[in-house]
Amino acid sequence: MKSLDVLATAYNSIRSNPVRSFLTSFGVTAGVTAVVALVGLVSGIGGFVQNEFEGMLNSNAFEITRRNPDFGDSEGRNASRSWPSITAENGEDLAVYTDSICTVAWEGTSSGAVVFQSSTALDVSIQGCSPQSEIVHGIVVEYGRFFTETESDARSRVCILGADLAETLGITEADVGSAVKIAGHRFTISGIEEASGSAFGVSMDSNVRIPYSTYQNLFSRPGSEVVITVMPLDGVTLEEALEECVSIMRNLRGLTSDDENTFYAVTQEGSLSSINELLSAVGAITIGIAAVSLLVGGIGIMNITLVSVAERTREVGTRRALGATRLDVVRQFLSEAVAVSLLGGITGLALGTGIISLVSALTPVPAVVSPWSAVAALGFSWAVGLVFGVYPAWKAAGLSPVEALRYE
Amino acid sequence: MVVNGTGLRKVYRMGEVEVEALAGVDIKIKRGEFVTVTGASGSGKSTVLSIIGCLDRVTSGSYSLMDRDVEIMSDSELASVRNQFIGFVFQTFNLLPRATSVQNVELPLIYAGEGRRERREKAMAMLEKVGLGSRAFHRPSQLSGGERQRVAIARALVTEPALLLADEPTGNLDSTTGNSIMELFQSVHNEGKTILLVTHDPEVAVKGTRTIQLKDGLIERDVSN
Repeated sequence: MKSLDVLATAYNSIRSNPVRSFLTSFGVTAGVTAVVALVGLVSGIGGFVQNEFEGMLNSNAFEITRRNPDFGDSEGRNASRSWPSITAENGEDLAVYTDSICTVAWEGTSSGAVVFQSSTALDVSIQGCSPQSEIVHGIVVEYGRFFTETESDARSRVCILGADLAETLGITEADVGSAVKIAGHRFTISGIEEASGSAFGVSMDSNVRIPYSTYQNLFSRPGSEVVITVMPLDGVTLEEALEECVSIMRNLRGLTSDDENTFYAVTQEGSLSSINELLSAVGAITIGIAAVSLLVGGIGIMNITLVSVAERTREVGTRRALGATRLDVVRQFLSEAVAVSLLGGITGLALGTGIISLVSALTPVPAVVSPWSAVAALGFSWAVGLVFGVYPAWKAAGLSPVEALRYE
Repeated sequence: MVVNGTGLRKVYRMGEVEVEALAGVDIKIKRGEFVTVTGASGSGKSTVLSIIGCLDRVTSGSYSLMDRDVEIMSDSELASVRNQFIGFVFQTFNLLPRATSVQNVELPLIYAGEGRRERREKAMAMLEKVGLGSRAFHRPSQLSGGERQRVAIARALVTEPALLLADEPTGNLDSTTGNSIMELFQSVHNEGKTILLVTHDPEVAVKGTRTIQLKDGLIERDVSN
């Protein structure tokens, strides 16, 4: 029997019972849809998060913080609550001891209303910035200028407005030098930042920056928490700077060689890799779900193929009498099972692709169907049909022609 | 010699019990004969047909078909022998319900590995021959019993087999239709085909050139008509 005729036989059999074939293939459809859609979503979200992070952080910098970068490590998160705060004093000390190899900046954050003439913006993030924040965070002032070290030392009440905040309040280039009220205190507008976009749907241009000294004076107490960001100078690697800063921080905290760090030093790669760990965990769960539905789908196919063998026992007998070998019978039932399973796989691929296109059309997540997941989905549905079709096919071929012909 | 069997014995196991369906039968059929096999139910006539048709193997005895030793053949060799040398006609027609007449007739040619076009040509020619050219694209459910049996006969003949085997071909038909089917068998025989036809009906049995009567797995009578 020629292969083309085997396929034609399978096709005729599927077409002659379309509802049953479709329902049988549905288990595989569900599995493949889940794989294609979820893999696409997870990798889309991964890419999205990475992109947003890259917009938010300087990749050639690391943070010194009490915030545990590992999302999964709740134990570590609890332990870090008892650690001493990371303070502006730590930042100042680090800056002094490492000024030959890196630039150190720190920021504290509070919030309050900002009022300009008759306009008010409520709940604005107020960032107390060290003088080096401009360099380390790559802040670009479009109109006016960043505050100077002198202003910082003098606890001057000057501020730099984010582009979106300025727009909200109706502040333009001409208003640089005018007064605004931040949480009831009068400040002079020193500059307006260039827009830098948004991360995770939140604008990064809606805060107001003031000198840290001023911030500490007005909005916080000494010893309150800051985040320190360190950027190595040219010719110094991130690793060298990180090692040096960690050792200085340990000295500042009086830790002996037996003590663990009481702070985290986190590079952007570190944060990203912990996010990627989270996403790959989600991916693993996805694959688990898909495996279960493919198994269920496969059992469905086996069940229907067994029914089909029983129903068509006389047909098997007739075909054997007309010259079909056992191999011909195996190929017939196996190719039916594989065809039904592949049908499910192709439907699933189409549905999954549909879901992905819908998501990328309606949300900012750039989800795409990865070619390997499409290939894997079809490969798996082919394999499911093969594996679960073997037993019924073998059963059909095992009958002697006489028995099969006498079957009632 | 088309069929040459000596000392054919077949024992079935039905659980604990052994049933001797054939108890040592010698049967020789020459080219061009039209042999009918009769007997009561349980006499072994269906078993004879299965053995001769290579659908089943003997327990003991020796059987050759067209001078080929069948006993020593593998399963797939037997399939190929059935395909090449034998055409089967069944009591219940055994057509594929979802295939058209011509597709049914093409079936043995598919297993012979013939190409599409030759298959279609041969099947159409054979349907014409049995008088069903106009019903080539009907499904079995759209055909009468007699028409279905004609399709089955066309299917049995399409490979030009050396031996045509028929198991109660008129058993599911009324007597008029049965007669016309027997006429078809006779005209096939007149063209030189060797036929073995199993029937319980004495009126059908006499239409052959020779009748073998079985009883309890043995030949009771073997006469020319």
